[in-house]
Amino acid sequence: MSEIKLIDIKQAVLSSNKNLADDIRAQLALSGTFMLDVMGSPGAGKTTLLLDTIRRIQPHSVAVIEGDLESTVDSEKMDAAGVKVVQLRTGGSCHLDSRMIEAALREIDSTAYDMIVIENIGNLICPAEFDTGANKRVMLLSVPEGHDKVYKYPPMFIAVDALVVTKTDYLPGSDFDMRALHAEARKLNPQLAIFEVSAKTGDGMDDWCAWLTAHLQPTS
Amino acid sequence: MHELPITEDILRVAIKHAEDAGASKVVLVNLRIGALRDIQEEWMQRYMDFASAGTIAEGCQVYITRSPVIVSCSECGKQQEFTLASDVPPACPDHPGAEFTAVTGNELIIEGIGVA
Repeated sequence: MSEIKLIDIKQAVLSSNKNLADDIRAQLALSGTFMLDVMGSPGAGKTTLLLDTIRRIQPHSVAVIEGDLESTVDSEKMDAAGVKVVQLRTGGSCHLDSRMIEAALREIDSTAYDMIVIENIGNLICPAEFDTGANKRVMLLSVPEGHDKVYKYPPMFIAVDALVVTKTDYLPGSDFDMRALHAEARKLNPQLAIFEVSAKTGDGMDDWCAWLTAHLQPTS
Repeated sequence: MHELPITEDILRVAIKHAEDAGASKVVLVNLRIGALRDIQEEWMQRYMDFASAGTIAEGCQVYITRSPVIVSCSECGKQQEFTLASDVPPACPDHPGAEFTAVTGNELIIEGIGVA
């Protein structure tokens, strides 16, 4: 066998994904559209939180990109609520990347919306690794999942700008340790904004919506 | 499972650099991955075996160097290592309550390749 020659590369993996994500952000900035990437486990309450949030932040206009392995269940719910929605079916892929978002954005006239929300694939691992072109990233953690997810999936807690603890109406009688969650999450990510909400009772929704709308262009 | 698209990206970069250098085969790929990245090392090789089949990188070996999480005090810049498994958050002896930013630990870099 001939001698092996070493070639230095020193290139970040997924830099093409990151570059496209930067292009998407620049493009959306032209129309003043804010893009939010929402991540969380299957069943964390992403669709429910989004539907309630979209209703509460009116008259801000919102379009949604739904990512799922299969089915159009979530986008049908959005559509029924009168929300503009584009469904991405990844056919088994565990995350969304900037190439898929670029394709979805071709179906949306971004000038007509203050915010585009990406409902990422239900998964606490893979989506953390892929920049989608969003301006802010949010993860949901529902009370029934348990506060210990922060010990098990640290990269997701590090990757996001805000953590929304959902289904707080399940707190009474549960062993969910909110104080331990806050301490560990802030240890991993000191700048993390944390909200505790229940879309069912409405508790905490005002604080969460205020944080979100602070990033949007004022409605005229 | 996200290791597959990551591996495909590494493969694309490796083959391009090998072709640019006029090499006929990629025999190894050196990666540096920070401890904060959720990457399963054994899957990187398995996916590489799968993704590289039929290319000039077929059968190449993936070598991974893990770098530790080094954080730096936002007040004075003093650095310290931080382990995710630790119960105690990082603390600066001179600036209690200061925040920290990660200096290393987030890398996912193709350091280089070996070609023949």
